[in-house]
Amino acid sequence: MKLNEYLPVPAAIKDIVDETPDTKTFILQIKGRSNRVFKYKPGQFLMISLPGYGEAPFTFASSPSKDGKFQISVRRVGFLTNAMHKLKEKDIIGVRGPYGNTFPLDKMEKKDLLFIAGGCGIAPLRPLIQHVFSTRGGKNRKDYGKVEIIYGCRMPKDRFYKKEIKEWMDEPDTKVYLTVDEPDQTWDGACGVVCVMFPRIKLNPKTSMVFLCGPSVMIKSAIRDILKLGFREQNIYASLERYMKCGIGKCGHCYIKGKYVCTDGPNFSYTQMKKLGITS
Amino acid sequence: MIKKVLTTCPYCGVGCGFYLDVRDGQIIGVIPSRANSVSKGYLCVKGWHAHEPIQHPDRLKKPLIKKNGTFKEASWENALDYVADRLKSIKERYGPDSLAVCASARCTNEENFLMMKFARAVLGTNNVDHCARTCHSATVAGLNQSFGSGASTNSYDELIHMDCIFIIGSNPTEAHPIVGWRVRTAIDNGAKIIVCDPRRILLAENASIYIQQYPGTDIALINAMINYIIREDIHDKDFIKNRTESFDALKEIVKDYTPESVKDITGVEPSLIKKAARLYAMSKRSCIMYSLGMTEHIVGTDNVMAMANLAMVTGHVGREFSGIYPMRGQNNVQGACDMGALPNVYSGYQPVTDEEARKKFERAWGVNLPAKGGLTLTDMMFKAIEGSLKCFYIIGEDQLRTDPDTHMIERALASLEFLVVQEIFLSETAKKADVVLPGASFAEKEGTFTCAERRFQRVRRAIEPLSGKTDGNIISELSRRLGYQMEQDPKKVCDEMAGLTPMYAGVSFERLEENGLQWPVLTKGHPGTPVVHLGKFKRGLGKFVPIKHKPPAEVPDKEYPFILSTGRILFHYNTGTMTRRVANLSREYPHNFVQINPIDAGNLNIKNRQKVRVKTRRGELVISAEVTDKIKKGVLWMPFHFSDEPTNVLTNSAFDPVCRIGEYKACAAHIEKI
Amino acid sequence: MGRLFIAKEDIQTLIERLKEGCDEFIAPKKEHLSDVIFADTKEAGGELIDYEGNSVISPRAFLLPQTEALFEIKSIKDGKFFPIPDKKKRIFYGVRPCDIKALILMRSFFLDEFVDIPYKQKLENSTFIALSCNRLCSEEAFCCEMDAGPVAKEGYDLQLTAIGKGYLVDVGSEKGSRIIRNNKKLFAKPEPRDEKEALETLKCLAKGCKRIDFKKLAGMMNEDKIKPSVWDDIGLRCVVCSGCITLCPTCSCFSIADRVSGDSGIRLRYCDGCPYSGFTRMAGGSTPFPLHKDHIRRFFEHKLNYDVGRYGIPSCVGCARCINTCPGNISIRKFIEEVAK
Repeated sequence: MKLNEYLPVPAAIKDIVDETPDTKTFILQIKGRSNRVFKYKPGQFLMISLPGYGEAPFTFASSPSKDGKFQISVRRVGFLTNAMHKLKEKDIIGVRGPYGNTFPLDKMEKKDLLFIAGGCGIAPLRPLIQHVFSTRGGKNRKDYGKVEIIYGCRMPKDRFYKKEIKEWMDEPDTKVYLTVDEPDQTWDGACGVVCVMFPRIKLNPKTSMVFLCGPSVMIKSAIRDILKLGFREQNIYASLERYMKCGIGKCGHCYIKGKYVCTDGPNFSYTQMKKLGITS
Repeated sequence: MIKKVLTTCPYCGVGCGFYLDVRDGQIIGVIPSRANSVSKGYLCVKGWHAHEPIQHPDRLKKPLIKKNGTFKEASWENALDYVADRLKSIKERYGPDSLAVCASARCTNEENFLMMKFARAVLGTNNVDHCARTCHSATVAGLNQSFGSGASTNSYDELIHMDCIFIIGSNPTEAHPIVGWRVRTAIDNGAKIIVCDPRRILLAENASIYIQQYPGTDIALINAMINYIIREDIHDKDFIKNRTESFDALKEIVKDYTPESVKDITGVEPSLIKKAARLYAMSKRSCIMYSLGMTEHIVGTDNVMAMANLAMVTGHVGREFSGIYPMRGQNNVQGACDMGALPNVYSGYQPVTDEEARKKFERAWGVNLPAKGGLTLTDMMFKAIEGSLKCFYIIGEDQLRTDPDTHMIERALASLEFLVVQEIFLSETAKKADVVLPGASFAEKEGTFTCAERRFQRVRRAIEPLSGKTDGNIISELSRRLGYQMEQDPKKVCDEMAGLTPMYAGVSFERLEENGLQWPVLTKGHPGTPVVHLGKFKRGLGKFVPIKHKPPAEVPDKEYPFILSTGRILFHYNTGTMTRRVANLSREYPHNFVQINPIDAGNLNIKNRQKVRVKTRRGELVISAEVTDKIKKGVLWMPFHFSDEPTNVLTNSAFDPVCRIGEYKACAAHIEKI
Repeated sequence: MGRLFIAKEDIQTLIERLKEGCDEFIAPKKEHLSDVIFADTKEAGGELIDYEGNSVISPRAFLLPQTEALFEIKSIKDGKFFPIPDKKKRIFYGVRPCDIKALILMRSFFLDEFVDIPYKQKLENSTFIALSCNRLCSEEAFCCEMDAGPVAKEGYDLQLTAIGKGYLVDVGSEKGSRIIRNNKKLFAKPEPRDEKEALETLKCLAKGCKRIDFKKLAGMMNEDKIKPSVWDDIGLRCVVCSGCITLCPTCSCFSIADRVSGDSGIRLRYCDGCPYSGFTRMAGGSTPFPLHKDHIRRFFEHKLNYDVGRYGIPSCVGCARCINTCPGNISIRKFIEEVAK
């Protein structure tokens, strides 16, 4: 009989990075003889179990690495995430996956790419950005066109992956625009929601692809404004967050108009989103 | 092994019937009983999840004895010996009235009978009371004065045939959902509903008349209705003449309460009061439904008698399809009262001061019984602080979270020499105890509960007690250690009770098998009593007791400009020890909150879900705001289910002078954004 | 295999033999007064061979119980998780055609794409003996309208249809034929008038029943042609009791909860679904369905609209369990009647 899909496998916490005041990035590795490496693609997610506290979905926040390590970034918002923030290096948690779809990687080739992220919404886009910038898997940076990344946070201290974002700025043909809602003394950059950066976009709206992730209000307003700039519905993709308990299209929490965000998504084109009545 | 055990729901006072679905010793679900005459296959969300807390890992399974401030597990033998020794020495040193027992509306009738017997025959004190003090003691006192019997006059099933249901201070779809189903069905059948509540509750949306009065102004409102009814000459003159007395006194008092004159007090348009009065009076089948919104005031007893006046003046009582429905809050709060877990009466409301009754119990139990009435729960707390009460034996109640003015209760418990708490989870009160004895849940015992329509119903054992003993076993084993042998088999206890209580003389487990019995059940052949006061009130003539409006003990002022009221939400039950251990219930409402009207919120710049500080003269609490137009301007409302954010640090410990109920429903409060 | 006949006096013999070959014999049993509920009668006995109405719970209560252990947590600190196998052989007797239809839908759902092993193992070890209806089980039932009764067309292993002197037997699977082969002597060929008798009863039942045009209904819901007042009314009626989703034979949604003490415990899954606002609320507090009426709408749309898209048929089988347990008197039947009008 097939493996019970609900059964997690143990993974060890290899390292913990304090990303922001309320977010930690966990570097994990599957434990055990098999040392099974997760073969996952950008945009997919996994279920994290903390026995006694339950289970919740998290997107992979990094590309797969050769040694089988992978990352998740966890913001402290509820019962489970609070408990996760108390974990230490070498602690064991349960993981299962990968689940969900990936972004249309083939369709992206040779195209200009626009990434729009709000707050912790950068995490699901990070593996995709890393994929574009990576030289692994027979691809390299030249296979893609220009890249522009717009990343907005509430405050400067809320920005994820600070060091890596600096490196992205140095990639060829790449622009990174950062903005914050509430600036402080440390900040001399742009202020406001991600949409305030849109006038700076240099990409050709008719051919570029757009990838968004962030709070639902942000996704809603960003799509509205990006469409006004002439970007095409079918080229806009958003990674959606939904409450879910299984990841495999059974528990029903993420069900919407006949689709399961966990198995049919979590990444949808705007054309699909409209069909599902999700405009946020 | 799969088995199904038919039993009675352990939550509110409606008394729904369901099967516990037991598989290999685990209770995995609940199956509604369609044949049950109370619930007919319907349940509310708490009932559907009644199985979840029973075998929760947090259940207490071993006795705990506190040593140097920390609890140590103990054997039953040691714990019971220790408790018995302490009870004995305190009794010897300070006399029997230095001890008090708090019985439990969560336990069975048989256990409550044993508890009151334990207090009276073994400890030798009438200091026995229970939480009815804080919910419907006003009903018992009020309806008793007006009608001669302090319980619901009619039965649930009549509700669906009513033409008019007057709901005041009660939120049936949330607090008593399966009575709420009957109100819903009545509406679907064409009945007109009048809802009076400071909050626009769900049923207000379907009400013909919705009245949003200020908390604590109900007497003014009801007197104005009576005033209008008499003025318009739509009162029931025959009924008043033949069935009641003292009408003139009532007439005299209500003459000062016109719908216009109470407008400022109640905040209600006179035209609405008139419409409501006319609808209630003129409908052929009208009834009144109320619960703690009416009783939990310093005028609780008066509120109840005001409603009785309204019912009698229109003749809407003492016959089928009419009456007054006090909706009881707990599964067996009716039963705990009926069993005499009260300081002034034995089972069946036989006064301890009645020599004949006392002699009867003395003969049956073979001991001398105290002739002086005991302390109410309210006064036990005061006496503890004063120092004359030394020892408190609490069963299945969490006073630190349920009684008003938490800080005062804390002082009272701290003043005791010895505190025993019998509980299924380690409640806040249990944490203060010297000894905690692990009790049993409803699924672990045989017995009966009595619901709000005076119906005795069976409770049946689905699994063995997790701690090894039921609450009845514990009481009886303690009693033996104190030198008194007690029958503990629930069936035989029921027979003993029936033998000593004329009102329940016909009750036995055998007769309850089918669908229970509604008391009075006067003989073994008596069919029970769906409607009381038929043809004649229990006291003879119904008595109009003239009632005057009195404002709450605390009224808003400059410093505390809001009226704070409290209540129950659908998803939780009382202090939440059970419901907050049910995953879905806890998920719906994980935290405490305060409701505030958008106009008030706007003035104070408070946004929905923002943290606010609510302050009263007794304490303060930081919780999140729920900005909603469902609550009247000038009023705040909070649920009381969250023991980590306890609402009762705020409430007022002012009490009704007759029944000693606390004023949970109105106190002055201040709210600010933080 | 063609239609067979078993005499009244032989059915008990068959049941006794079937009991020998299973771990649990799940059959309708009379509980308190008129309550009929599926129970394990293998040892206890008392199964109703023929009965009126339907069980308060459907076979779902055994295949996807209200709560069940999903797996064992052997050690939290070492991350040791072990499956809990359920190898019990169950025979379900007296299952109504509506519930058989529900089982077909549940099978497609749980065994599709990612296989739900806890469900699958129980399903595969189960045998279903249907009992067709000879009268409506409740005033509210509308199985005929939903094409789910009074007789099951497929999905059973055996189906019994009562006639005066015994039962006609239809064989629906290899599991069913095996039962026949192992008990050959109990079965005979039916006489033509037996078949006629059964047909008469069915005709009588189906009289006046109008099959719902599922596609049209789904289309109307899809195009949002339902009067908003219909949803408003439903929103005011629902008091979130969760009875509908607990008793519905095709509701499959669940949540998980851990029950641990010390370093070990179990992960439970338990019935969950549409009525709760917490069902779709995310950790931060935002929700895609902020209005209560939308929760029940989601329930109705799933059954009557989206599943028509996915399976070609609605996943409401007209058993009326949700109607008979709703304290808000919400009726999916009235909803369908009003919309399809």
